[in-house]
Amino acid sequence: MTMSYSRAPARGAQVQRMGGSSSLADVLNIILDKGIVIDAWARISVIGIELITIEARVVVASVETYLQYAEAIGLTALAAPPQGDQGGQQRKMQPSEDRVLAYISDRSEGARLGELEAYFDASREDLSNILNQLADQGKVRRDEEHKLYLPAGQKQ
Amino acid sequence: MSGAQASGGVYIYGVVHREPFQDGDNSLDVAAVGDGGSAVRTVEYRDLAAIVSDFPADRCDVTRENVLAHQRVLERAMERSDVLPAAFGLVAENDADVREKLLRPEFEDLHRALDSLRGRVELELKVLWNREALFSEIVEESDEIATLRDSIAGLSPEATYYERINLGEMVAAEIDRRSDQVAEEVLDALQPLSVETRLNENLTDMTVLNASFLVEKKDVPDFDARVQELGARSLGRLNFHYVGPLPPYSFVDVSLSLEE
Repeated sequence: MTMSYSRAPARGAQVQRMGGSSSLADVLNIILDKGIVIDAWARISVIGIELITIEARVVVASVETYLQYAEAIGLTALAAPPQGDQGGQQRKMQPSEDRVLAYISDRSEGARLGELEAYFDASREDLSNILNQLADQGKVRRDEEHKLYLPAGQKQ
Repeated sequence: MSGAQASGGVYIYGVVHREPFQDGDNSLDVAAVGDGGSAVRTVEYRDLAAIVSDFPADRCDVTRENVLAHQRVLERAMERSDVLPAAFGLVAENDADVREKLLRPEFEDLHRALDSLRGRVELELKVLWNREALFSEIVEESDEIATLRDSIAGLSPEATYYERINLGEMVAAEIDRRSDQVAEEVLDALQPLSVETRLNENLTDMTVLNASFLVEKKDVPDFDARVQELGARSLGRLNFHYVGPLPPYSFVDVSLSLEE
């Protein structure tokens, strides 16, 4: 398949309309659940479904989520230095672990290194380091065969 | 099909008008679900046809290749006809069953459903918060939240456990409020250009809107333009995942439980 980098637009880019087959993760639930349904003829293998469709449903009304939000609010003060500190150099900044994790967590289908590079406009080396750290911490899972990084917690 | 019915069958992609697939050309040059090698072809009944391919296995695994093949076949079919897409994973025993248990008995309903989608496609839009931007604007714009945050800053998490939960709850409410507001703006802008809109479940807490729009083909450029406009206005604040044209999966209300 053709790689697409544009489903989340980079700074200054326009929103691109992607074909269904090049943006499979976004239409997966629709393809599985909608359309003509014939109970007696449905032969979906349930084992397969777990591989790619379980999206992390965040239970918002939970103590853990509230604590995360409190944390996120606390971090914004630290993580947002005054504009201009970077000398206008936005290029090749290292994205935070949190941002990379957030990006991957939003994609149950997984993300590729090239895609992350384009999205964060970061160097492959920086990203590899971050991804390795996240993988070591068990926060993301590597799919060596498909060269994908997936949210942790999805069944193998 | 061979006589063996223990495994394998005929995979069904969807139902189309028969006419565009006649003229001695009822095969679509595209990889099939399953092993990819089977011919994608049609099974006809009166002026309808089901798009099918021989399916080699007992079960239909939800792999990337298979789902992609399902989608690609329908995209190819859409080039020739309106399409009533089937959900992924429908397998009949043989061509005769496709004709005698689906097309013939359900002819009226299938026809009506297909006609109602004539010249229309599905566009799918997910609007997601940029996490950093969202939390920043909440702190900047809510004095109450900023004050509480400042009051516990620097104190140990253990000592401020309940304050943190309270802070998080306030943030969650603020996210809800802002999401509702943005979703309403987006829908107000897009619904006038769509025949019908279906809201899908927001799967993550960063999802503002997850909607399917049924749109006349001729209105797609205008719809594009509005999405672009919304995207440009919210640059850095929101991310848009905009997908289509899809066969109108979300607008097919055909659910059958066939008697064996």
